Amino acid sequence: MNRQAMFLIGVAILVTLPALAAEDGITGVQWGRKAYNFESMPSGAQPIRNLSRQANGVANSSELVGDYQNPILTPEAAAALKKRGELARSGGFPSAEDQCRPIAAPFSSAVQFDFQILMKKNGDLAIVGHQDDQVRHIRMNGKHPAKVAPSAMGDSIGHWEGGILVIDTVSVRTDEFIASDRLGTPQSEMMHTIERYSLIDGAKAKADMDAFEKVDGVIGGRPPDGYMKADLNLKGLRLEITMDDPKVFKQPLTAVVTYRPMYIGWREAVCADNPVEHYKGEWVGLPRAEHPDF
Amino acid sequence: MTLHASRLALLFGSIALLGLSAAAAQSPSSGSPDFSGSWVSTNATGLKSPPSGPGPIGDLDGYAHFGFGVDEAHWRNTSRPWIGNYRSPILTPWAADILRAEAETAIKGEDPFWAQSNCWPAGPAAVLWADEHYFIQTEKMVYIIYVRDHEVRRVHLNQSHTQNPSPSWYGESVGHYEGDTLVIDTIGFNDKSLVDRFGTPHSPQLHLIERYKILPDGKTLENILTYEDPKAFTTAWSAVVKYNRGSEPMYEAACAEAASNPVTGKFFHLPTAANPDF
Repeated sequence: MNRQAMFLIGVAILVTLPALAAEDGITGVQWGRKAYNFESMPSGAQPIRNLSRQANGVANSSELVGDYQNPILTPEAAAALKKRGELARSGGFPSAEDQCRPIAAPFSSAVQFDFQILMKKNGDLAIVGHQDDQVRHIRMNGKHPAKVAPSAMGDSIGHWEGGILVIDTVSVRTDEFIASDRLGTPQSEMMHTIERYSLIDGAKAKADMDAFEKVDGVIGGRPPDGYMKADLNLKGLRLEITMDDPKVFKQPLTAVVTYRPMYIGWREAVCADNPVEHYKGEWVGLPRAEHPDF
Repeated sequence: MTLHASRLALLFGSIALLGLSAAAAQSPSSGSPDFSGSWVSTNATGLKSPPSGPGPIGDLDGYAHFGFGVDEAHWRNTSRPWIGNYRSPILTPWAADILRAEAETAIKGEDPFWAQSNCWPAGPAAVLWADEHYFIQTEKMVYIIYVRDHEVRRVHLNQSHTQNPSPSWYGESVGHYEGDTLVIDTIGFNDKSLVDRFGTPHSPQLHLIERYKILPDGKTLENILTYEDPKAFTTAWSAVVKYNRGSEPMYEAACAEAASNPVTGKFFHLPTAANPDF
């Protein structure tokens, strides 16, 4: 093959890939779920579960007691999680979600019920979460900088592997509110998150969601259908999320989140309109920065 | 080129063309202006006057605001609070009274409150933010995403307003293209946000029309805004905001990390709600 042919093929591939992604079935759709936290993979290490259960065995979403004895946790992480569980038993602990803080990966996948992945003209992505309209910026086909300063949402790059959208995130800044999940499982600045989004059969998506909700319960304030389209011929979305943080997990932890397309339009959900005190004294207020930035 | 290579190139080329057709389905309709890329305001967070007709209130006489400075602690601060001309004829007595109170506070050295100080969405004042924003244009919707605190506006294309939209920070926006211009018509604002950095109030009756257009230099995005609000303004008035192309990739600006008054450094707390919402 001569150079001219190779050049033409290369150009064609470069033009084709983002164009095909435009009808990927993943971007532009409003995806939703009606449960918190992570589903398990069929085998292997399990995500952290809530030890607090209701009488019917379903997780008690108003008392977040993470299973600190999960063998995947490092001793330090287990101790931190145990402490948060004790706080939960005596009232609760603040999180990035209820303190109107940035909701970054992997926490975003544990607590954002609705989201859209929007594609920019250059193929880069913006993931807009429903809660507080928070946006994550994804540079497609890029590389992480050799030195990247920790930031609220971290540094995210992505690429398409056929029909699978892969997003790789590092350098999420941590503070006392940051957690890997809603149960308060810790997260360090070594956290490396890889998200793999793929379309799945609509009926399977509903079955997977139903099975998880029987164990972990559903969020309140929504109709039973969770605003999700009834048509099971429509594809669902499966996220396989791998959390690699050697300060927290003894080995990378892979979990699943299942979504289905929603029929309801976008609604403003501004955290500052309604920061919640789930228990007295929970609202600790936003910290004062060293330097105002505007 | 060998026959095999030629066929491969043809195959990929054909796929590319098909793919581009698919991509076009998510793009604005053919002939619509392309606002892709990021844009950053050159207005220094102030509304500029239109070439003619009623315009924004501007500074109170004797209290001209001027840009950013650095104080003795090396904080980058506004060198003078924003003190609005509450005597402007465009203001109704209701709005003038509110703005006078803001101005008197500002004269004492405290910057007027604005929603952003409390990490609230900016509402109609988002157009003034001095950070990048970018447009994602699809066939049915234009998204305007502001880097500042991850704010998002959604503009429904070629649709009518609903009868009674619920009041919200960004209101209900519908839009259409007129040649090279994106026209955005917004109603349904709540009454928590402000029009500008001076603290000019508005009511839920605010009707805002924006006309976005890339100027012939190809580097400048112009937004001509028209405000109508019978409770706040005696007349419809207009203002201009211009933007230059911004940098990519964009940086983050999370308000929760710096929720403080830019002049006094006083920290604002968010309000608390009576009832949990989830």
